[in-house]
Amino acid sequence: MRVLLADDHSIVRRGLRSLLEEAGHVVVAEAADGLEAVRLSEEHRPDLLILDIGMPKLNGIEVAARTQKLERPPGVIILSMHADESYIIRALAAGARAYLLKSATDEDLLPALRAVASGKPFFSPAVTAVLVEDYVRRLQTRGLTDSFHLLTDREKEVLQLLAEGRSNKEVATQLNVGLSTIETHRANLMQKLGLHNTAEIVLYAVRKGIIA
Amino acid sequence: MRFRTWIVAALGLGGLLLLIIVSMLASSSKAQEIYTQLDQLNVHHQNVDATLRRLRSDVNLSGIFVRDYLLDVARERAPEYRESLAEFRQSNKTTVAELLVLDEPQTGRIRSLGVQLDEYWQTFEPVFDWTITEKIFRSANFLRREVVPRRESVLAIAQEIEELNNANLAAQRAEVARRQAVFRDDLRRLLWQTVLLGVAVALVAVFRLRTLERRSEEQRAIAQEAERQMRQLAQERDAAQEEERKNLSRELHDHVAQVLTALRMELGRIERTRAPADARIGAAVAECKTLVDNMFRTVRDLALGLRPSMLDDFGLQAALEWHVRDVASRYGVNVQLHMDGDFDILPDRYRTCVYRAVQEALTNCVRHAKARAINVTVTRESDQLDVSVTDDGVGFDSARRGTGLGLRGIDERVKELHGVMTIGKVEGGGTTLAIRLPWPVPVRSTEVQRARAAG
Repeated sequence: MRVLLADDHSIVRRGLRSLLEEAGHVVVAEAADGLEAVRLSEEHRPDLLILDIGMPKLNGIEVAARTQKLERPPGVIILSMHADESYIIRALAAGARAYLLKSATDEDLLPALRAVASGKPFFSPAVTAVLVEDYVRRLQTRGLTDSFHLLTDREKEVLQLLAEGRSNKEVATQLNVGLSTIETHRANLMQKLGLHNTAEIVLYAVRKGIIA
Repeated sequence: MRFRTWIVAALGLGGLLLLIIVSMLASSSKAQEIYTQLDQLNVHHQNVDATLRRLRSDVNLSGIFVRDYLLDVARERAPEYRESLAEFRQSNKTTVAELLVLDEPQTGRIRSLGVQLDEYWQTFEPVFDWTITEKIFRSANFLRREVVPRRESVLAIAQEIEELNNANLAAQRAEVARRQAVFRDDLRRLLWQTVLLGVAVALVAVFRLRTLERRSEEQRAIAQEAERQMRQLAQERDAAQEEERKNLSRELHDHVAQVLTALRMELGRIERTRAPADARIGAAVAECKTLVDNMFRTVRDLALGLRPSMLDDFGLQAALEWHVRDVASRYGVNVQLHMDGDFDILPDRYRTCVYRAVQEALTNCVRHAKARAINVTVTRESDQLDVSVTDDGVGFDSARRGTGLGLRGIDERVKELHGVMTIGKVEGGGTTLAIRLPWPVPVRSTEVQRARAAG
């Protein structure tokens, strides 16, 4: 795969490059700030962006959002220090497919690469653990019950496929039904679970352990 | 030049008061004296006058009597007339004696009056022995030659005494008037002295008061300035602390964490490239990875604790949401956050203030008030920003002792932004900490900067 690296720390870029090249991927360019990352993406049209969130000039989430407007948008892997949903949800909303904790990069990067290449989301197991743990605790302390059981079997299927990164159209094809049917399912399940966008669907699925 | 103002003022005012009282008493007694003198003078004059009048009337009446007698032909009534005349004479004697007592300075004249009177009365003595015929023939001559001239001379002396009496009255009155004038002058002088002294005391008092007032004004200004400086210093200290936290947090993110990331990747590479048989190195590398992971977590928690990167990356809502989740999972309490409004446009000072206030309040709730459920609301009401943190804990008084400084810190931050912090009890236990800030006037550059975030 043709990969573009963006991180303002050369020491991290060096580590990532050697990791990727060992696995046979090609690093087409390296960027040390957000604007450079956007410019190089337009220039090299890589298959994949690996973005640090904290970068000068433009942060990784903004870079992801801007590159998704390209004609053939690259897959985006976000590297972050934080396993907090404020970051994850914004990364997902900006079009990122994978969210990795920096501390686990060497183990998670290649699996993430593979997942994104096949159009599936990927989260560091550490992130998933934190999210699930946090979710369960909140359910307990608030005494809330999960509304997952309110979903129909078909809605659960649609939820999983959407969380895995399929578009409405892809889901319709796979389930052999019309696009409008899928759109209805999607709206219903979002309303039942109190979700507002695709990013939240993915986050919910991660928390529930539907995808990982 | 330190002199006791109150002593000077007391002495001045006391002297003034004493002067007024003494002069009042003195002038009143003096006036009384003058009036008494005038009164006595008048009474004396009237007495003398009345006595003289009586004397004159006795003399005149006696003349009439004698005439009546001379005209009366009834001889047997002679003793009766003689007796009446004796009464007049006696009365006249008494009157002269009274005059002597009353009018000492004219003793000479009064004595000669007495002598003349004696002669006058003596003149009548032979008349009572007269026969009718004698009466008829001698009386006219007797009256004209004897009685009238003597009476005239008596009356002339009486007139003289009266005039002297009048003159005396006038003289005495003039004397009194002179004394009155002297008294008036004295009084006027005293009045002027009092007024001057009063003016002097008043001037000193006013001057001194002005000095004191100015001094106290200066003192107050100094105190206010000192307080203002202290507050400013505290604000600067807070701002510097916040800035330092931000820098430290960023430093941890940007450098320590990146080095750890690189280190972790290097360790991974060693692990992958090592000779498969070398189990000892494998174990050591695995141990190193664990250590790096722990260090990574420590650094991340430290950075977040110093200042959550979300506050600068995404704004107030993201930071509060993270913090509430963190407190909930760390302490096992139910924390609900309700935010209504766009708080991402808030300037950094406001974001920091609200964030730190909520942070401190939550710390109080879980550490000191032993709360189990906490409600945090952040709302915008037109031009006001309202923050409230309500818990179901044991109340605030017990919680306050240990954390007064933290709350004071919030209060300082809130005051700095012209806001108000209040603490109230909730019915059925629990406490509410409320903050109200005026919504900042929009400034172009207040847009949240999202250029940097932790990676």
